[in-house]
Amino acid sequence: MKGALLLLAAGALLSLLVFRGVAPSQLLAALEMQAVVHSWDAETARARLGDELLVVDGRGGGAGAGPKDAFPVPFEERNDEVFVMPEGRQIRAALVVMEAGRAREARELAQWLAREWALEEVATLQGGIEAWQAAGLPSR
Amino acid sequence: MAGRRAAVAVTRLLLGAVLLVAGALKAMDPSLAVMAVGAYGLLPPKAALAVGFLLPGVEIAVGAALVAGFLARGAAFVAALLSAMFLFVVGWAHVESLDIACGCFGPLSPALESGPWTAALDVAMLAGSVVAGRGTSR
Repeated sequence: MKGALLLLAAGALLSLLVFRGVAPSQLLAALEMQAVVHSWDAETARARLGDELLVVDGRGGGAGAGPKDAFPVPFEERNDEVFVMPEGRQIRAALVVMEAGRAREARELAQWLAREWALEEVATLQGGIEAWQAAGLPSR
Repeated sequence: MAGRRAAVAVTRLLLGAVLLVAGALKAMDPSLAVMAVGAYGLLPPKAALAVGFLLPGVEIAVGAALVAGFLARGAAFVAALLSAMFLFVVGWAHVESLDIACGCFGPLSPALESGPWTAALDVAMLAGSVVAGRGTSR
């Protein structure tokens, strides 16, 4: 047990070196802004479709058919343009739909939306747009 | 007997190497380690900051001790605690249906989802910690 405590103390000292120059206040601010991103399957998405959920299409302009009435926020352009949340709806959650192979970007976009639009809940779709279409969810 | 001792030594070295690499990679971008802890939503921000702060240094210290065979029993004990904690958060992410990068290997982690393979790695590390701890006299 003494050895374990010694190693924990050594680890804490090493961490002090590792975090040298990193401002804890900035990290804390970033943590406070961080949202938990959920992963929904197509059936959960179907059950949640409604006025409170905004489906966000994170694919670029050249992408093919997508979810019906999806709000386009292309991942690559998220910081270049001003994306204003649609008015007239009580939107509390957003579901990001992108290609299945772009799960990491979808997650980042969901985080971004939670920050920019102060949403209560953000999620990505398991299997992406391919899963959306395979489940027969409304498409355009 | 010699075979068992060799197996314990190999397990200790492998476990140490994994922790050493994981800690070193987290140290390359320590902010990422803190954000990875926060992304699970299990801890309030200040506690996530504390855990994310401690992780890289503790992993490096424990990994180095296991590789060197110095304070190996204590190191195996801390490694077991870390593995159990990692396994719990991976299970939490599964139960809560979180879309999350595992955060296990610092800058490499964004491409690695928290899921079955991370759970398998944590189980292997936990088993390795038990083997290394029981087979070491110091």
